[in-house]
Amino acid sequence: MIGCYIEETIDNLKTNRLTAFLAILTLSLTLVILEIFILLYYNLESITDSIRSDVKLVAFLSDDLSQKEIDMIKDVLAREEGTAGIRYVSKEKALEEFKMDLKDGGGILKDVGENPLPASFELKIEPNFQSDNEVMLFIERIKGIHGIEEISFSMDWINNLNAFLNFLKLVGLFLGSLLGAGVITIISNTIKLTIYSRSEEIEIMRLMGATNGFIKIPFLLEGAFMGTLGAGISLSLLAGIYTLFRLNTAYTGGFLWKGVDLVFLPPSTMIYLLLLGTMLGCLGSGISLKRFL
Amino acid sequence: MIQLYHVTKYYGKERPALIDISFKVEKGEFIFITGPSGAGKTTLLRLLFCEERPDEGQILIQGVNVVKIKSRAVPYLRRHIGFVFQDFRLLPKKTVFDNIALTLKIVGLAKSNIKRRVFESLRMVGLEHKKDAYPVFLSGGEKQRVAIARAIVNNPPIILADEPTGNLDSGLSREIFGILKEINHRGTTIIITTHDRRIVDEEKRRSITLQNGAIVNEKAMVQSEGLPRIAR
Repeated sequence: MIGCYIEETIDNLKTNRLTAFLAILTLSLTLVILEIFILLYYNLESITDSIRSDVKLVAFLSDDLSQKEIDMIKDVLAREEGTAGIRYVSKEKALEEFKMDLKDGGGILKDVGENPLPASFELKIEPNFQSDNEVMLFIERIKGIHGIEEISFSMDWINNLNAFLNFLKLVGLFLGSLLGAGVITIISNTIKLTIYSRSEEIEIMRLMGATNGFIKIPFLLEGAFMGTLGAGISLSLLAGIYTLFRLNTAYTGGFLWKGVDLVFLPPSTMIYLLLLGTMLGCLGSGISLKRFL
Repeated sequence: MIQLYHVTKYYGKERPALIDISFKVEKGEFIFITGPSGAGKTTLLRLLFCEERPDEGQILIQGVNVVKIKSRAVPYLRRHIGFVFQDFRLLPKKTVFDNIALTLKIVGLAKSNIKRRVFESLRMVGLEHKKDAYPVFLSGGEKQRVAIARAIVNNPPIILADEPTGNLDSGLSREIFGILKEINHRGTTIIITTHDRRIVDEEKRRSITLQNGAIVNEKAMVQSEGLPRIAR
């Protein structure tokens, strides 16, 4: 009997190929809009993670510390909860980096005699420890360590960034939900139209003694097929758009944010999107059939 | 075979579409339900076909009270009844063969049997050569013959035909009645609604006349050679 349903589904798709094609096209184009949005969201997340992983706290050291004392401080800081990474910047290295940062290559520093810059530890902070309170507690814990003279951390900047990213995510979720609802409505209406155009066929089959299952199953299979194919095409379109965009940005810098490259949807999300297409196709068919059966 | 007891059907609060209808149809009978438009002929067939349920009375088909059967049992009952519509109701995107085969697919018949049975019924209506044609390329008479082939392909014991010649000229009408009579000769019970008194008078079969939803006249079959006599 399953073979009969599949055969009937293929026959129906062949017979109603124009309607099926238009439905798949609508489905693909609608889904691709949602997918572009999801891709943007993913990339925003990727940038956010990159910025977060870049959040640094600088602990300046006294000039009179021995190498042994410096190593001890390094050990203590590395073991501290919330430390994601640690880098020692010696006085010489600090001067070198400072010179590189200056536009004239450090010419202005020629007249400065002794190196005025202190040695320091640059600490990367784990994302979970980047909130206001956590950072304050972290600073409280390390500022008492012998040899640390001063701690530099721009709290306002990280707070503003966090607030901005959270706002962006909120707006993204809101717009994404609206878009998702719109996509579901469009897809279910498209499938509804294909079923309405075949209402006479359903009526005739009913009068000939077809059970609801016999009528429904090929329609549900058709819906699932159109949904999956539509989602597959939309993902291919998205991959095309993504590749074009990447090629384009390769000429103009190649990245969005300090070396953060564009990312494509992970395979798991692509599978979810394919399943979403299948489900929407099935659901659209099922809901529309209720009117006739 | 078919028994109706005091069947009444209302549509809204207006006058009933059928009022206190009672009659019996024996196995192998050929019967006309006649009357002007709006008399209740189609409503009566819709009740027999379980498309609707009566508000009062009982209907027995092959011993089954169809008024009381559950909705999910209706498709199985319909497989014992062939239905011929005035407007043919063929699927325009399926060939003649596929239109007829659909009835057998619905009952779950094997593919090899489907082919044989479809050819048999096409032969019966004389349209084997049109098996691959689409309905749009058929004449009105041919469409109705396909509809009849579809109705008989499952060998149902009962055929209901709602104005089967309503859209056909008199020559084609006779042709269609010829086919239906042939089917009846093989033992199938046939109930036909028509408003064409001329054909009813010509055929000299049993007829029930409806007017404003009530039976106003009932004529027994006039005996003729080769046809079964139905006692009333």
